[in-house]
Amino acid sequence: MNKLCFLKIIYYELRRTLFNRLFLGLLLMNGLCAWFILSFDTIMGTACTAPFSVWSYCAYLGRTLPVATVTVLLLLSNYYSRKQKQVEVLTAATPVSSASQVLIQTLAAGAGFLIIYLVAGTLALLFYIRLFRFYDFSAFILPSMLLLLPCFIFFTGLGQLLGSLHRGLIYTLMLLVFALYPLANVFDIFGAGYFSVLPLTLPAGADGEPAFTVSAAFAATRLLYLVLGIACIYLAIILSARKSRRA
Amino acid sequence: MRLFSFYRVELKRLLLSRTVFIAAVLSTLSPPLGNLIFESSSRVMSARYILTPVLTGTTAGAIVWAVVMIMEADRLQRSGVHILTDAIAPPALLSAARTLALMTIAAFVTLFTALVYLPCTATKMSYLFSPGFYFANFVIFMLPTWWVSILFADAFYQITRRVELSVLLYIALVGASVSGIAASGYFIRWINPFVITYSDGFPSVWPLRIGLYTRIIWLGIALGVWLLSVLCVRRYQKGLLFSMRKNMKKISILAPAILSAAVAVFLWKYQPFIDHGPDDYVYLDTDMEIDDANRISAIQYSLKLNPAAGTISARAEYDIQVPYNGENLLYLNPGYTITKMTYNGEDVPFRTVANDINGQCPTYFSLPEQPFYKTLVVEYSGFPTQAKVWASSSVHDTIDRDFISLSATAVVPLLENYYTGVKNAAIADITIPDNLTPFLNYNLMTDFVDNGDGTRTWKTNCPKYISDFTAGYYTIDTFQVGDLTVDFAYGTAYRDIVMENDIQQTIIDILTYCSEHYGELFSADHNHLLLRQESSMYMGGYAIHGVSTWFETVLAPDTLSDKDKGASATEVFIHEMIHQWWGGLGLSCTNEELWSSEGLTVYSTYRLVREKYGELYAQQYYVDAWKESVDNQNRSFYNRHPEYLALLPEQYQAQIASANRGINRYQRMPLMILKAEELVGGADRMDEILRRMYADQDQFHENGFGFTDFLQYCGLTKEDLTLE
Repeated sequence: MNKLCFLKIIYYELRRTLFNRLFLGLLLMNGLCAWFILSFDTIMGTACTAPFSVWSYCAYLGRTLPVATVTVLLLLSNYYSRKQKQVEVLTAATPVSSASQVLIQTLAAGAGFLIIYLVAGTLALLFYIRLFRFYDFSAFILPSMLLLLPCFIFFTGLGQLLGSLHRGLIYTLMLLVFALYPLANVFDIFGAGYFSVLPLTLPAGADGEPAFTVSAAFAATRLLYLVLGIACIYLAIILSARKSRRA
Repeated sequence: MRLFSFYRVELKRLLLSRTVFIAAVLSTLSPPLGNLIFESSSRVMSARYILTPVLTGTTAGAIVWAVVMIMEADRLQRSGVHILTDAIAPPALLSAARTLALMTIAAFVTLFTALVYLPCTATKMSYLFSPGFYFANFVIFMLPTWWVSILFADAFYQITRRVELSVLLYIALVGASVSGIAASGYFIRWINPFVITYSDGFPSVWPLRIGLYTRIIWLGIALGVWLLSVLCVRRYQKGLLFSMRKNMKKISILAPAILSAAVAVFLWKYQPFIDHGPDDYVYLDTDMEIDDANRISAIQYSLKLNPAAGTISARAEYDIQVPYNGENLLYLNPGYTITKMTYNGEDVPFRTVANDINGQCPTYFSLPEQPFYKTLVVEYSGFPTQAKVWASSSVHDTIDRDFISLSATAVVPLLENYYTGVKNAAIADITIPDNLTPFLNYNLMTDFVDNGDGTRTWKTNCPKYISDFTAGYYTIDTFQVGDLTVDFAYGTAYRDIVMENDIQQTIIDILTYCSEHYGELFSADHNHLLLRQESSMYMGGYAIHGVSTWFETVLAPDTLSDKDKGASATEVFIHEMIHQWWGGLGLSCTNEELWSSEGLTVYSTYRLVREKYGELYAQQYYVDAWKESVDNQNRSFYNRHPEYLALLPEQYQAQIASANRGINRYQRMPLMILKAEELVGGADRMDEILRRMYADQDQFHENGFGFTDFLQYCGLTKEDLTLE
């Protein structure tokens, strides 16, 4: 399979995944949810810090993550639907390898996730500019990556793996997402709880706010989630390849 | 007939379905999760053992049944046989039969769940258990909510024909109900009904009444949406819009759908439980000039309360010496309707303005300038509404078989422009069930006539304005503390607890401590003090002339047996009693941003607790807790940067200001007084100062005792008490 063909498949997969009413509806729901969190929660500031502090922004992202994760899992569930299974015989006959298929699906889901966070990020920026006339967003970039990437990779990987085992398991995973939400320690995959508690334990700086920092343990668990996610994707590829061979 | 035939088939099929069986098991198992997972904080037995399990089961079961409904609705399409079944039976009819069958099963499961937990609940609650109340909770909250959930789930599936989208729509609807916006909303919470709490000693069916009403509203909405969804059943293998256009011709479905939703919206808009005024308390300027001549020489109030309907039927007669020359104004509870108004036997035209404020509604009328010395009669009746301001935290106005609580304009009209000149110008006749003990304006009523029909008419002299009427199953113990006669009124349900825990001695200890440390109680009404237990549905306690009230839960078995928990409801009892010394009735304090009677009262409670439970306990639950709150307040962004506070919408500014005021008065000020204690030379020296302050209370009746006065008594400056 050449590069052009690969890009074409990506293009069609993106169109299939993102240009439909389901995704638009989900995007709208994510946007509403984000605005709701900003307007009712972030506005008061997280753990005595400014609403536009990195702490508050991270807590905001953390609070939006469960809905965004469920959205991604819903997108993934489409890849394991009945209709998809019916055409598996045909797709297995194409020169596209199982690994490429899983990666393309992950990429499409990732594009959806990215769009959601472009919307959520833009809403936050508009919120900060409009209400607090705050414009210095550069400090938000790295913490955002630290929160979003491991969470996306972990749940997408796990979703792909569970989906290739049984579609129903993806729905179970969605329940797990909500079960994990109240965690407030270093294992908090969404970070909302962690970033709401940590500032209260840190000494305040000259400006009265604790400097943004994350513990080594938290960073290590983010890395662990990332690695676990990648491992799950790898396992999903192996399982998918086996199924293709059987088909 | 076909519907019934399909219904029977579907019911049989669903009864054999494994999914439905699992759903029934899950729904039945869910109620105890409420107390297991959330560790119900309620110390009221009926709230802990009935309300929390029922509400948990209601929400969990509703979700379970919705999942089953969506799965069942999708079953034919999933298996690909819908093309065949659609050819045999109309899909709308099949859908209706399926939904009805599932609703029937949900009803059986509700009954089964209630029966499963009946023995356990009855044992736990012992003599407080009432089977009627227990089953009513299941029938009012659980069953209709499950039905609503089933109807919504099926409707969403009929509209979208997609499982994922149906689930998403359902989640969004659930989200609206469980979100922060709906936190204390009685009407918006369709899947997790809002109930403040229940009361063991003073049971009220008001929560059940409003619960039933909101369930009817949501059943109407769900039925309307479901009927509309029937119009979305796909026709000719076409899409949603085409099918809807074709189905719209079915007036027999469209009309009831619109009617059902419209009735629900109407019921919501004109609900009779909570007034339609502003959310926040509105300060009214009620200081109007009253001419000396506009005097009322006598007032007769006659109230008949009907507990079965929860209504009042009343008559107020005012003997007016000189009618007010202008537009007269009276306020009544918004739920009441004035049925008749006459002056000197002639009808008086009046207009009630739909402008509810703080749980009262104005009525305007004009009286003829002549004749003098005639009687104004106002007859009114209705179902009392709760003031929106506190409807989400307490139930002030309710007329029940076992408990009656009416406040201010829910008792008698508030007639402006007139004065009586004497303290007790009115005579009130109040007819209530004969087993209740009544209090009018916090005074125990003693004279009654037995009507022989299960009611008694109680009679007493009272002022023109009645601020409170309460009646319930009370036991009253009377005892002496020195010269002071104490009437200790508590729910009869708590009689054994009061005896076992020697509550009477605790009261004596508190009164003795305060008398020794601060001086004899001045606020007792002719050396008489009433200590009254309030229903747990009436939040908080308060102190007024000769009366202290406190939470019902102070006497709950769990409260009294919890030795680890500090600053608990029991200490609220102590706090409210100490307000007899520090407050409007003792040393009247000014209300400043930082200073109020609360600071002194909290500090005194801490001192008493320190003496009673020890230094460690008082340090942990008082001083450390105050410090933590003050630290958090200091750290708060908006307190560090007030310039940003101004940028916030008003509601958040008010929220932050209110939180700050609370911390200032209840935590910061006590800490400052504690610091003052150190600076003046210790606890004994501080007690001397407090005793002197209390003794000098007469000097501060006019302007109140302020923070500056406190500093002067201590010989300190404001800077001395600054907290680091």
